Amino acid sequence: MQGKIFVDVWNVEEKPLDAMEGLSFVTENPNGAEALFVGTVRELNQGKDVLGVSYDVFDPLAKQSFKEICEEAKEKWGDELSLYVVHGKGRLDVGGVSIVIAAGSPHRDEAFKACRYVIEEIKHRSPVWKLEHYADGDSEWTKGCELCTHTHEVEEHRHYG
Amino acid sequence: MKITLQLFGAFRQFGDFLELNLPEKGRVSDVRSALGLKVEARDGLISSSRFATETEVLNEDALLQDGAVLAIIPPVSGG
Repeated sequence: MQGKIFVDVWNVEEKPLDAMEGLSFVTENPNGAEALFVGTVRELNQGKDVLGVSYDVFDPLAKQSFKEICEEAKEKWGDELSLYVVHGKGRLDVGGVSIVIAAGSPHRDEAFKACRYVIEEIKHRSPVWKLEHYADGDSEWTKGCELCTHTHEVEEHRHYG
Repeated sequence: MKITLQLFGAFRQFGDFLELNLPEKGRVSDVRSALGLKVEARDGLISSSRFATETEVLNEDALLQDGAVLAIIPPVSGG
């Protein structure tokens, strides 16, 4: 059976992310394994006390990148794989859930590997930014990963707009 | 020609978007130059950023149409 994919971005100040929703989405009778990754806001980063993080997201391109990454995972670990990816935007306090990734597969190895692949690729490729708010009153955008330059080849006369 | 650039991450300090004037038959590399003249971003931030549409990240030599809407993609930190 072909697995399914769900990706989205939503404002966590209006609707908190729900890990159980992700797990339910990928739990189906053909599957014997479900892996779950939940990202949360940490209280300490590079020696500074963090009160919260505001997430900025370019929604359409982020969702496009999530879909591409999920398709890549299915190519690597089988079309039976079901994947759920939701990234939050807006402000979260420490302990708040910023991302939920769930992977369901007939066997555990594929589910674990796909879940790990999706989070690592999102961290390197998806247009999401973190503004950390510190206990001393400062706020700072985290440094992040520069996108690689080998993404899409562009035809000589292609236009964008 | 004119394009609109949506701003994200560290570029939010300059607003939600900027309008930039480019030479005719402007390319992504011209957006980078025009942005450098318009805002004083911290060292290396513009050169480490990419430019994108809603569906893909563009190469430096991609041709743009008058009125195009692009987004700047500074280094990312999702998850």
